[in-house]
Amino acid sequence: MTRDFDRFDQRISAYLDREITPEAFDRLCEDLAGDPSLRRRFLKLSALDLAISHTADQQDRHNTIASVLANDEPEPETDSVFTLYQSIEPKVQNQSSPSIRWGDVLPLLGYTARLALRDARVVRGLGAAALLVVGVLLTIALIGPSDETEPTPLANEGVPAADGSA
Amino acid sequence: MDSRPNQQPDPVTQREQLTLLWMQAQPVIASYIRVGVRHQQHAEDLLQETALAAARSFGRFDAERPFLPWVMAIAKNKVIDYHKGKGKSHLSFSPELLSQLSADFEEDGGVVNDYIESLRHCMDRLAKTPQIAIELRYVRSLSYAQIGERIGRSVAGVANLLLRTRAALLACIEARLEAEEQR
Repeated sequence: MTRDFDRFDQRISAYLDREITPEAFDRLCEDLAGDPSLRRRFLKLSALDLAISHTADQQDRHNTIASVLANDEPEPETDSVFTLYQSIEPKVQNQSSPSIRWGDVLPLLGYTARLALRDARVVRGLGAAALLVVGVLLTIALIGPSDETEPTPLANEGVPAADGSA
Repeated sequence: MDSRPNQQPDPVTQREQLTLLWMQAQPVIASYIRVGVRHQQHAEDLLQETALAAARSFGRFDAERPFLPWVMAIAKNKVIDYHKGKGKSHLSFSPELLSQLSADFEEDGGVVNDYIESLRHCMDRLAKTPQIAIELRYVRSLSYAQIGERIGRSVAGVANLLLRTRAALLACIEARLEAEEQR
């Protein structure tokens, strides 16, 4: 009886994993149709399957994935940790790049600041603030293109090495 | 003279009522659909279709009767319809068996909520290899063969490992629930 129960569990497990053969599936259907206690067992294992799926979904959201535990090679399409790292890293490097052309930017900033000060005497705060914002935006626009010629080290790389080197 | 107001509940009340009832029934319905349809995405689609159908015909629901059998009947028809028209090689339970299962789920399907609460504790008690096998199976949806490659076991070995892991988890959860009941 126990051995039959084990076989039944095997078929359920294979069914839940979508690995059941057509022959085993037919047998499973026969067992389920004829025995309420087996259906009860089936229900419990199915409920467990759903509970594990539910928990796994939550776990997936927290990036606790099997590759980390198993220390195996990560798969790019599922490994969100590396995807996130790669999307952030080039931007961080761009921000600290020393190639900003301050010679181009400073005169423009000075001009907008002078305009802002002069304007402040007339219409006070509002116009001056708007001009300062325009100045800052122009500064950002000028810094951007100068970095496009810089290589982004991780853009064409795969996964960083375990010691953190690219 | 009957003092009760002779009018239908307003749409807002009806919507609130449906939401409350659906939230209670949803785990059971999800569990049942998942059993009838092993393709996860298709099962989720059917669950949404069931919710939509229930919302559309909620006006015809008799509030004096229990909600679960009513919505379970909708889910059962959705599952039966899903299997219709699939090829002969497609594995599906017969409509009769799906009816038997729906009755069983109406009665006992609510256990899934209890299982979810106890599961994390029992998962923590698993050895590392079963934990990894469960994660590879449920988080990455890998096949037995793929899991076997990762953990160095045969297909039959993986099948056996998952079988034993499920049995152990179920035993742990049931023992835990029983202990809670006795407290």
